[in-house]
Amino acid sequence: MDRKLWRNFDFILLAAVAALFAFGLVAVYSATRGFTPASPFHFVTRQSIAALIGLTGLLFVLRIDYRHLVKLGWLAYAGTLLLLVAVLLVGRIEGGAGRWLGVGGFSVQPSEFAKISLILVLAGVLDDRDEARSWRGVIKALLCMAPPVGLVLLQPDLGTALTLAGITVGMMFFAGVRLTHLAAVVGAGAAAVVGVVVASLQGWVTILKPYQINRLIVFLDPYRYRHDEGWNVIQSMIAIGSGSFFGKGLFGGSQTQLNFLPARHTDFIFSVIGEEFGFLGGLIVLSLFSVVFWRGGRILLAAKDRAGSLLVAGTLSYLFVHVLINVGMTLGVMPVTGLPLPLISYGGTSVMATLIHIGLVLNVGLRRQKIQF
Amino acid sequence: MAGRSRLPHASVRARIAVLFLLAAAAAAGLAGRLAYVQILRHHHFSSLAMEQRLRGVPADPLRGPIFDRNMNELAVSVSSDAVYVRPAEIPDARETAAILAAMLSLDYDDVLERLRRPQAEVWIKRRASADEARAVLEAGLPGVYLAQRTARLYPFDGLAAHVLGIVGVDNQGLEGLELYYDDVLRGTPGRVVSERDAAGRVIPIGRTDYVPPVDGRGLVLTIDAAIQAAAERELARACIATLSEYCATIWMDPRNGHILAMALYPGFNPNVPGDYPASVRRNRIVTDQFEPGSTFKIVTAAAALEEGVVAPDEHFFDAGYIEIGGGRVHCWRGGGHGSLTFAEAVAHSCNPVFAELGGLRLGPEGFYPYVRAFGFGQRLGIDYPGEAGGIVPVPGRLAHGEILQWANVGFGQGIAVSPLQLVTALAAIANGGVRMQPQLVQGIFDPATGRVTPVRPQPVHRVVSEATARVFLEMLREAVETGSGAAAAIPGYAVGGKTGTAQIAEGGVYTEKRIASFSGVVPVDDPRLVGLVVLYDLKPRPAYGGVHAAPVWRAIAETALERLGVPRGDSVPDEAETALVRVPNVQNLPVAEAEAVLRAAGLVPAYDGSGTYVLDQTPVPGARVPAGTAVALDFWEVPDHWRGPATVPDVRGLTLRQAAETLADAGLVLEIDGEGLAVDQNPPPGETVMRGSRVRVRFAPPG
Repeated sequence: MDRKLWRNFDFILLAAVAALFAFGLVAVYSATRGFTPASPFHFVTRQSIAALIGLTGLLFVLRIDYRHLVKLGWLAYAGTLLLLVAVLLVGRIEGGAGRWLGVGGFSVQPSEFAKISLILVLAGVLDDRDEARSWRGVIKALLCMAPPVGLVLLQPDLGTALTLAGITVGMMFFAGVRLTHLAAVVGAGAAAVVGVVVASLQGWVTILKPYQINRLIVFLDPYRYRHDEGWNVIQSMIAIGSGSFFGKGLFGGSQTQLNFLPARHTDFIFSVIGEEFGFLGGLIVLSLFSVVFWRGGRILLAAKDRAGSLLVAGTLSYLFVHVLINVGMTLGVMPVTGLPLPLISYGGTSVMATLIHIGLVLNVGLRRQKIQF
Repeated sequence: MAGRSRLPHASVRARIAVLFLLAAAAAAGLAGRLAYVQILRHHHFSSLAMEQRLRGVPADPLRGPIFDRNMNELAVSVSSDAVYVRPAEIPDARETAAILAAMLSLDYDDVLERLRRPQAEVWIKRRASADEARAVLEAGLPGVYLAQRTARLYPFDGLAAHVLGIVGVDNQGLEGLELYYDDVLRGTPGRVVSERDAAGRVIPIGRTDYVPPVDGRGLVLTIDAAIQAAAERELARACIATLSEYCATIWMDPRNGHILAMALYPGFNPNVPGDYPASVRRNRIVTDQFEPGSTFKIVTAAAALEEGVVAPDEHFFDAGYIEIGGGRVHCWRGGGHGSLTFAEAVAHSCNPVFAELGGLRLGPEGFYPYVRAFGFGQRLGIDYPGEAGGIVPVPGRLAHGEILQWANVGFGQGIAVSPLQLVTALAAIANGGVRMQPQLVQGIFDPATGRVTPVRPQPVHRVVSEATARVFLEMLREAVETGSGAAAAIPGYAVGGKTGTAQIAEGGVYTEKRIASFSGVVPVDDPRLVGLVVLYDLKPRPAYGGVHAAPVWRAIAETALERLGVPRGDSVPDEAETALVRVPNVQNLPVAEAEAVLRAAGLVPAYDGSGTYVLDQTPVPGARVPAGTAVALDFWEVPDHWRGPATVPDVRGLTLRQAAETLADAGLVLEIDGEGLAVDQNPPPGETVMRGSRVRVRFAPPG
């Protein structure tokens, strides 16, 4: 790899990512230090190991020209599909859904890697602009999306399915798919989701379990479900709301420290930040994500080719969906779907996968222009 | 640079702009929502958080103790261990539930349901024993915690239970003084406060601090535990022996309205209130009202004396009835008392005389203000919840029959009063004419300083003059020394009192059920004690207050006087002592036998009409009268089951209540001696006696 490529390296992007991870690590520590019987550093240590592995992956991804990666995308795609099938067969069940695959002492969530491989594959599929502007390209993209979406829905993991759909729609939009086509696809998808929800509610089919539907609509009126699905949302809003402008200080969050906040180190980590670091802390997190989007956007525009732009667009779509839905959920304006907040939430696979995503973006940025001699 | 290699600038740039606008809008939306939740709605969520935290953090204040007047602890709060869980931290709910259920003797399904609740903390057991707490601690289960909670404990179990009342599972006062003084006793739970600057403003960056709970203050009662215990013991005996539905007694210091004892039988144990029905826990002395009957004549007499419409030595003629206000009032004695002074009318509880006072001499307009002034028909303001006001007719409401109505009030019919009101009225006379507000708490105890802030006695107003009070007290003394209250006399103390026997009305109709009562003052010269004993629906006949309630009153009063250190004097002059004879008991004897017994004692039997058995005598047994005094005998029409001979059953080996019931079945009355199981009886089993006779049974603890 040419040393001169490093002149194009986006240190600001990497710094924002590192800052997000560091902030997240502090929050995870605050949220988990009271967990018994593990040591106070148990979760933080695991999270850091995952980040190191992710960083290694990021550097590894950087070394290979992304155009080669796009070509190898199908291999990754096939691999993740196999893993998703394996999860369904031998996966570990947690919280009503089997999402985990045991690897040695660790568990991995193959659905996180499905996002990467889908982005790689779609970057290839949508590379041809003319094809992308025809039904042919649209259908090819949808066909790529369908298998992983179907497999994660079987787990069932609604959040990941939504993310995969979001990535696909986002990349299609960037690829220049005709707006009429896009509107038809999004409209059909939305109609399908509403149809399934209504049909499940009416008891005609049993695709969605009642708790899943409740999670989807609980944000509309959390107090109606306050003993069940609404509990998490109410606790989250109490934690955040009581944090006020400056927060209660690290380890000062009573809702966090007194265990009122459920799933506080994973899905509701933003609530911990909101309580202990206040509005200021929340704004810092949102601003750091904005920096990631800004730097990512720069790379997207400067990319040497369509495939590069599409890779960045996919990753940005992925981040966008996760941040919007996760933060929105903690603030009671989005459904409870179990999507982690990238780089912040505790979860090894998520951290590793996100760092590899970032690696792809940086990769595109490194090779954005002909090397000047 | 077009086509396949780079993104075209025109159309796709527009799309990128759209998407970045979308992202910016989303970011702005989230930030706006964040600001709304954290800044605009901050107070709302903060208060929710605090509410939740205060509920979740185990920080009970210690409920204040309750002392008797001599600082004996009647109610205390002790710390006990409570077991709670944090469901989120429990790795295996089923396993943990199984262990906890076994350890704490709880239902497995119930525990499992609690472990699965989506709450931060859930109580498993609020009052775990020391052994259970240690077991939980040693097991070290993840997610299972112990917290210190306070539990209410009544060290003397049922002592003064009706006064103290009960608390609920969260130590909140539910009944009695625990309820009335809940604000004082409860204390302040721990809370979270913000730092403030010198001006008292909240510092925005200020730390929030946890403030420990403030323990509740204690109560120092007017109750004397020793007098209360004596009252409860004597009342229980009498209530069992007479098979009464319930019995009540209340004792007051007339000088300040302090209630020294207040007891009901059956009682209850406030440590396990759920074991008793609410009706047993009700303090009927304060909350119930009933028709007082003869006892109310105290009020009529005092009012008439104060108004000057009657003098103690004024002569009346009782023909056995009086025509008044279009009705006829009968004397309880068939032929009437004949010629008698007003003082004798009080002593013998002669209804026609009191009817005349109430209906004619005082009249509705003259009598009513006194009835009110003595405290009837209104709440007295005792520091106890649920006080009954009673019912007193208001003059001017009836077109016809008002004279008769108030004639009835004159001897205690047609009104409803509470035992508390009766004793308060008598206390007003005893202290020289001033009604005091009845009082159960004489001080508030501060656990931090150990200091007691006194609660001052509250005089309400003067009801009658001191002179009237003194005259009337002498008449009450006469009622005991020569009249119906003989059994209340205590050697060495001057006792004044009034017996009462009232019919119980049910559904507006008088029934065969009776209330026997005695209300008295001691010592008459300088009253220190006013007491009332009520036996409700007692079974023996005749159901006279002088027979059944007066001895109970006497037994309690003797203990109380000793306890209060009232010196024993000579209530009866020495020279008179020798000239007096004790009236023997001739009740239930055949007429001829009764005459013989009285003559042997140097007394003269006197009676009108005819009958088989003596059912009543005046003066009653035990009274000291000059030799040659006439003892009036009365023969009642008695129900068949009280007529004729009875065979004494064998009650040996039985408990108090069993013995009382067995004897009652045979038409006999139990006289209790001792406690435990019956070991000896007199007359012995198999002997034939008159129905209604007393059988003295000695009880001893088994083994």
